[in-house]
Amino acid sequence: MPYSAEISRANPSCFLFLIDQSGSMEDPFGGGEVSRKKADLVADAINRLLQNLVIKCAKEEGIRDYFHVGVIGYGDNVGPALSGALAGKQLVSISEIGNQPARIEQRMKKVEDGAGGLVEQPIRFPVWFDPMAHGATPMCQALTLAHDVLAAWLPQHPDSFPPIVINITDGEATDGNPAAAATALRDLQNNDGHVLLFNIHLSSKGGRPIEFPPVTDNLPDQYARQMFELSSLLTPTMRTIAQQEGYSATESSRGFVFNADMVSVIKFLDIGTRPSNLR
Amino acid sequence: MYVTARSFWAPKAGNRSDEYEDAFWPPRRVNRSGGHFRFAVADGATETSFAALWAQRLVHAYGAGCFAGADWLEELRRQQAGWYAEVLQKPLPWYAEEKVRSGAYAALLGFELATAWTWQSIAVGDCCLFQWRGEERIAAFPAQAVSFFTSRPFLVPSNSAGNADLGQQIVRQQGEWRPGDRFALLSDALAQWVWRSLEAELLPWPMLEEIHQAGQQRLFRQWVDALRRRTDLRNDDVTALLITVQ
Repeated sequence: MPYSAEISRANPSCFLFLIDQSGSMEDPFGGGEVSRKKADLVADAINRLLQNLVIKCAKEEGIRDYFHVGVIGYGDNVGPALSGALAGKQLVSISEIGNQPARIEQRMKKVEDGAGGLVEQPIRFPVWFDPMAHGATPMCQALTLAHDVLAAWLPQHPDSFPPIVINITDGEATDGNPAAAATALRDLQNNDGHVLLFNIHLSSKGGRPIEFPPVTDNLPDQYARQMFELSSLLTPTMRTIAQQEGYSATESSRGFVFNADMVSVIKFLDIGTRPSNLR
Repeated sequence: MYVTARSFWAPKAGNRSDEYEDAFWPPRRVNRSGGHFRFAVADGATETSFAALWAQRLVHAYGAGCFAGADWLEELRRQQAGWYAEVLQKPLPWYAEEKVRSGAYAALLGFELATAWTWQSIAVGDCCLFQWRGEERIAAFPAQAVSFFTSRPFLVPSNSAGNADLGQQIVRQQGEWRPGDRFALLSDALAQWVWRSLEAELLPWPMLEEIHQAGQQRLFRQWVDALRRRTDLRNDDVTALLITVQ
């Protein structure tokens, strides 16, 4: 059955993040937080995704390398976007990501107090990316680079859970229609299935958050509908876990969110027992 | 009442022995007469940290009778506080700190045998008890079918903030035993194999009896490896606490 490979240190999978860093990301976000720029939301989204991916792999002895991770930025340039000691690298291990954030900030987080209330606790929040917005939106180039990176990775990992590409964008490519490049990327495969392309669409036009829709009916414009069309279906296991998490996922649900984050996708991956009561 | 009992275990394939996150009580074999015996198996959740430590704490506390009284919740809080104190003994990197904040989780199955021909069991999560007599299944608890097993069971939290829902998730069972009866306390992967065998009308008991009779970890691990190669057994830590009562 496709998408059933065990994710382990001996048989790791891969996450590739594509980050829209174009000038249009300077525009305000329209999802109710009008004071924030889309670039801020993108930085938050990628930082939270990386943080949650690291935490998923963390054990008491350190971080288990269940994933290879790459980050490709697209704006003025298209290329590897990790900074610091990881700058210029296309793929690194998840332990390298976890151990080498650009900096660690102190933030406050509300946690349950065990008596039905919430208390604020200081937490350490790692930051890998700061907001950036400059240049055009060469999404086709970014998808093509992702294709090249994964075309090299897949033959070395023929039995791994297929790579997941998460593209974070406002959806307005400036270098042509991204459909062909996205199709070529999704057509890559190994013995466990095709590459999964998921999209996070952050729009200036507002609209309520939409997560993993099965159809385009409630999407507000052509860009959102196009990003939906470019997105892979959720795998059966992801769909099952999504349903257990309270999402109304169906067989047609796609790996697409509109004005929302996609941290939940990390929960959808099975690396072993995850308690249903773990928040 | 004369009881023989022994635990067999193996880490998930690809993991080291020190990464095994199940736990069992008692730690050594039992081969003696007595009036009352306690046994337990726990299974720490892979996605949480310090889960082996939490599973160990739970089986030790159960084995010592700490959860037997009406104040079991107070005892659980003591164990939770002890877990936190132990894991926070040294500075942790940011990701380990975040993981500790979420807490560790474990399934717990406790089992008591008493001289009055009775047994009782308590469970949270997907570790399972089986009782059989000859070829006949006498009891199974808490799973009643292979469909019981998912990768997302409700488990005992090390974080006391999660205690509110726990009372509703604890299940209890009691029964009677006869001389010669056999019991198995199994963590989920092996319990799932037992149920899959039963649903295919194959008897799982002879192999468990052979393992107990031989008393060799080596034989148990060979058998587990073979099941995994045939994909008859999910790749997970496995524990079998096998008991015979006379």
